[in-house]
Amino acid sequence: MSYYFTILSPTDTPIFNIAFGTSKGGGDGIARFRFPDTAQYMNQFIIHSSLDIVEEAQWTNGGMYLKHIDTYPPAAAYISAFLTPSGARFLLLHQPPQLPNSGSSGGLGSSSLLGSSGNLVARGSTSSIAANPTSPQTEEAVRQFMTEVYESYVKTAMSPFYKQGMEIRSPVFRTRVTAAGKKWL
Amino acid sequence: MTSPGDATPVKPPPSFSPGVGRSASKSRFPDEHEPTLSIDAELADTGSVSSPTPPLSATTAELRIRSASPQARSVRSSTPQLARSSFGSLFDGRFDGSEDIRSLIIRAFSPTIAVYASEDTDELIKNKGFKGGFWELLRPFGETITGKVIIRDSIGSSRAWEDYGVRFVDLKGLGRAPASRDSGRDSALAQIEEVLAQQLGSAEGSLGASLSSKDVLGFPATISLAKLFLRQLLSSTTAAPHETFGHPVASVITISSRNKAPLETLRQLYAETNTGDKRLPDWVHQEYLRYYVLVHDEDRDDITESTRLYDQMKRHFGLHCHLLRLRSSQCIVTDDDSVQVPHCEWLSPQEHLSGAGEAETLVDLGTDGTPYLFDSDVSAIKSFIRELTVQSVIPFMENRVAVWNDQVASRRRGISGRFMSMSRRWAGFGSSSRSGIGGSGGATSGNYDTEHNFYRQDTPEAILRKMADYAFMLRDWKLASSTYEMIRSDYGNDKAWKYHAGAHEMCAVSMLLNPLAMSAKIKLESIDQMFETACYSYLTRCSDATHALRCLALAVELLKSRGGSATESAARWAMRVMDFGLVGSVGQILFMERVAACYASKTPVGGAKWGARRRKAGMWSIFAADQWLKAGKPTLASACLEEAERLYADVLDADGVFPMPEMQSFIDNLRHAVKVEYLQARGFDTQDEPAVDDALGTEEISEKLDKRNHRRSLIGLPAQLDAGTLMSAGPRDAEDQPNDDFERA
Amino acid sequence: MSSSKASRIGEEIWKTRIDKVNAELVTLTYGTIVAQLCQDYDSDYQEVNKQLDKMGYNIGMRLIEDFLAKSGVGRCANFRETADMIAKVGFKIFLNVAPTVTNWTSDNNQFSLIFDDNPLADFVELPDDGRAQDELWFSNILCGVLRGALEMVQMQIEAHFVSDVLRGDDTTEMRVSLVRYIEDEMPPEEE
Repeated sequence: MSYYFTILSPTDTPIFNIAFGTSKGGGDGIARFRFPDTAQYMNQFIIHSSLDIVEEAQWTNGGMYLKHIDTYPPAAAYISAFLTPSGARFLLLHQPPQLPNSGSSGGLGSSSLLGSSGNLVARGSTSSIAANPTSPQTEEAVRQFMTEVYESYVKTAMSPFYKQGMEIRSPVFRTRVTAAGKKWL
Repeated sequence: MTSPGDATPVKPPPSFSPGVGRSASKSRFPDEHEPTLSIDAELADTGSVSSPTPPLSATTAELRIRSASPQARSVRSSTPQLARSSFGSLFDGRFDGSEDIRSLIIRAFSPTIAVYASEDTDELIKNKGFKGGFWELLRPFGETITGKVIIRDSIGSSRAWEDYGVRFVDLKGLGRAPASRDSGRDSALAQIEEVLAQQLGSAEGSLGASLSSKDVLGFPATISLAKLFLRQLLSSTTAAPHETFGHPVASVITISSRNKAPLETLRQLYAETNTGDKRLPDWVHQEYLRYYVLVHDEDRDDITESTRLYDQMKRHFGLHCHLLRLRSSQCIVTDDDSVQVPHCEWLSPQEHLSGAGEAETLVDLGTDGTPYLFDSDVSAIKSFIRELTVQSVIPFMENRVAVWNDQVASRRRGISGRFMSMSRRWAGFGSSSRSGIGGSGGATSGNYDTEHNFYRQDTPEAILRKMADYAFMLRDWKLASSTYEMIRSDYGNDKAWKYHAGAHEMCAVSMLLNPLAMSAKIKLESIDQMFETACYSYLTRCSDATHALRCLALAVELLKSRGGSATESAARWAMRVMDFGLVGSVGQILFMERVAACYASKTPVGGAKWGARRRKAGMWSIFAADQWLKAGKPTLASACLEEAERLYADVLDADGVFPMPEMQSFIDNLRHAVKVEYLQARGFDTQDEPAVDDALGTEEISEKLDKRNHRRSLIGLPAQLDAGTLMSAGPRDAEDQPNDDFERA
Repeated sequence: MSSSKASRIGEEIWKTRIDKVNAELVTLTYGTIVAQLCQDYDSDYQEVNKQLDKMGYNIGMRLIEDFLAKSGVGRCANFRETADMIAKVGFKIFLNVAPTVTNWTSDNNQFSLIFDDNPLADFVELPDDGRAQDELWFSNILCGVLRGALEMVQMQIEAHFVSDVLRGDDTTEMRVSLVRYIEDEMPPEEE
């Protein structure tokens, strides 16, 4: 499973980005997306497009954690969202590794449009999170991750030198997010 | 609609001033302004009138991409109101004509009428310039029947249709096709792709030239391409056992007045349709309507003679007869009352590839060889077809539906029918003789010919399917869907997978076409489920890619036309099409555009800001643009880019800058690449190109600056001062300055 | 007075006689002041340190009255006792922390305060401009406070930070040196 985590300000400006891979089941914590490395903009497109759903979901869902809200089927990218009361959005894109037989939901064999080379690392890992991005276990793990990041985010936002809506450049925060990712995802 | 005249009294906002416009023209002629006040006023006036973008259109101009073409640029600056109007039509009418597409789909499932003409008839028609004989003469006219066609549904209410049509096919070719098609099944899809590629080839050339005028009105280019694709797809499926749309509803048996033994010939032709090698395969229902036509040669034969023969025909064959009076001589374009034969709308991909190109050039050149007919012939044919359809075919179908509904469907629906199907289900336990063959399910009716994979035409399963198809073609979607619904599981029990797939497909399609049914979300889910099943049966169980693609394409278009949350389902199906790899490279891009169109058609709920899918639509448009560019079609790419820009305009801040830096740079690069390719394709050689490119570039850049200034001006005064000093530096500097700004941005 | 006795006094006063205020409010208020100074002085951190010290000095000169009134402690016998009073009573009642007093010089005129916990610096991350980490003493106001307060009780001292966890150091340490005892002078004009 590869992850791309973004925090968007209430005005949709990304203030924090990080890409990482799973550390569960022998994962090395390195993100391997299905797009070639030159196409990392894809993650941003997918995240950005899921804002359509976030905007809708935030009115129909009272909680901060909106769970898995959107999917980008061609790349099997799943988006989970978390809204802070102040209007920042935490968006986590997760993409299961491309297994030979992990296919589309119909089980009809996948010839993914944007597929690239297969991912050797997490193959064979049967950790529930990697296996199914929409399973309750995954939802729970993502929720834990989001909550932990939220705590760190609050602290970071309290720093007198941080201006609201500005990019978060704090290495401390980045470390904390990485740690949370390692711990839960 | 805003005209420049209306707009001038309004002082342009600061956002608009740099680079072009009033302020620039003022500073350019300071001296002329000095001498007299009146001239000054006059000049200022003309300055503002000729200023390219009045305030209102300035906002719309921001929504559009500048890269399209030099022509597009001039269009924008000289006729801003066009841009305005295109903006107005953006979200509802723009991608679309969903009504149009519905009609296209409905007409794709028109009753098939086989034409079986005597040799003398075909001979006569060939002399008129129709190589294919009588069938070819009728075909284009059948596609739209003049006037309204009134159809009664199963509960007796009538409805008039403007767009009814029938499809004439050559009886000799009927039922033969599937055998050959099985081997070349994939080639049907390949052919579609080839047709698209061909169309694109000509499109990029001819359409590029006229794009500037067309694009502001909503890109017929790609729309028509998507339509062409759908039409090709819908006409690529020929008669098959599992659905009866290609089976003849009626057969037109024709002789001409030249025939020496008319009645005998008619009898013989009739007999040939029942026996011998013209007999249709076992899976085609034989009880179709026979219709007898006497073609009278106006130029050579005596009408009284023909009338007498016609009366005889009526005595022998009943009411389903027609006397068609045609002239036998060939009509050429220079004749006084010549009428051009309309184009066939429903050409199969194969026909398209073999003949379309030829026909097109002929049409373009207007040379002889293009079929022309005398006006009298045309009206004779039209009224013949109308009479055939309205007085014979439709009543026949209505009657059949009623009879079958009464005799077969009600029995199946009734207690005994349920018991029947129940007992069938239990039969597996009782009689071991059948379950041995039938396999594990034990629920086979035994009617399914597992060896040849079809139901004989007289089994209840086949008849019910035919009844449902008739109801469908009569546009009684309620009856059709309930009938499909009833039988779809039966096919599954028999493992008649293609039938199974077809019934699920058409059940969902007819539900979606039924304007009254279904508002609830549950229904939508069940429809999705049906498409899913159909698609799985077609693709995995039968590896029938053509039907699977048709099924999914119908799902996309019909769900899209439903609006609301159905559009999201539609988009998902379109993605599935891409995922399955059912379409070739051009098809992939078309489906990307369809995804964008589906998302774009989802409108916000009740004036709220949310509920729309603008970002998703914009993203897919961008991807499509990228792919068009990679496919070497910069014109189409630029159309998609513009579309994306419009879609994104709503969700981005006024500055039009994407919050995500990598997105922004991707889009910027794409724009640039499209522009370069476009100019190269238009024939600017490499020496010229940089200059032109630069000119375009600065314009785009100055537009960017506009937005930035606009944003700054919201913050405070300094920005305006900034812009002011910038202006006073003169127009030349004004163009250089933005460049820097751009670099920084 | 022993160090442990000072601790008890501080604890007692903190519990019974101090009006509490929300820690985040203090933290944010102070943090905002520092950030504002950094902005006003265009990230001239030396100047910011100086300003913080000056502000602290003005606070300290007033705060000492309150301290003496609340604590009721008398004159300290020596500078070591003063140090304990500062650490265990002063910091305790105003910031609810008790820095460790350590690193005395042999002449008993210089010591260090080691802060395990610094409420002023909660949540704070220094600007990552490459200079703040080396130049800014975020909590420099405390030095001024000590200087101002002790001056009011006839001790001229010099105080400065030598390390700060905010800069990535292991500890936060303030060095305090006694310059001299002021004999019956008029307090100098405010700086």
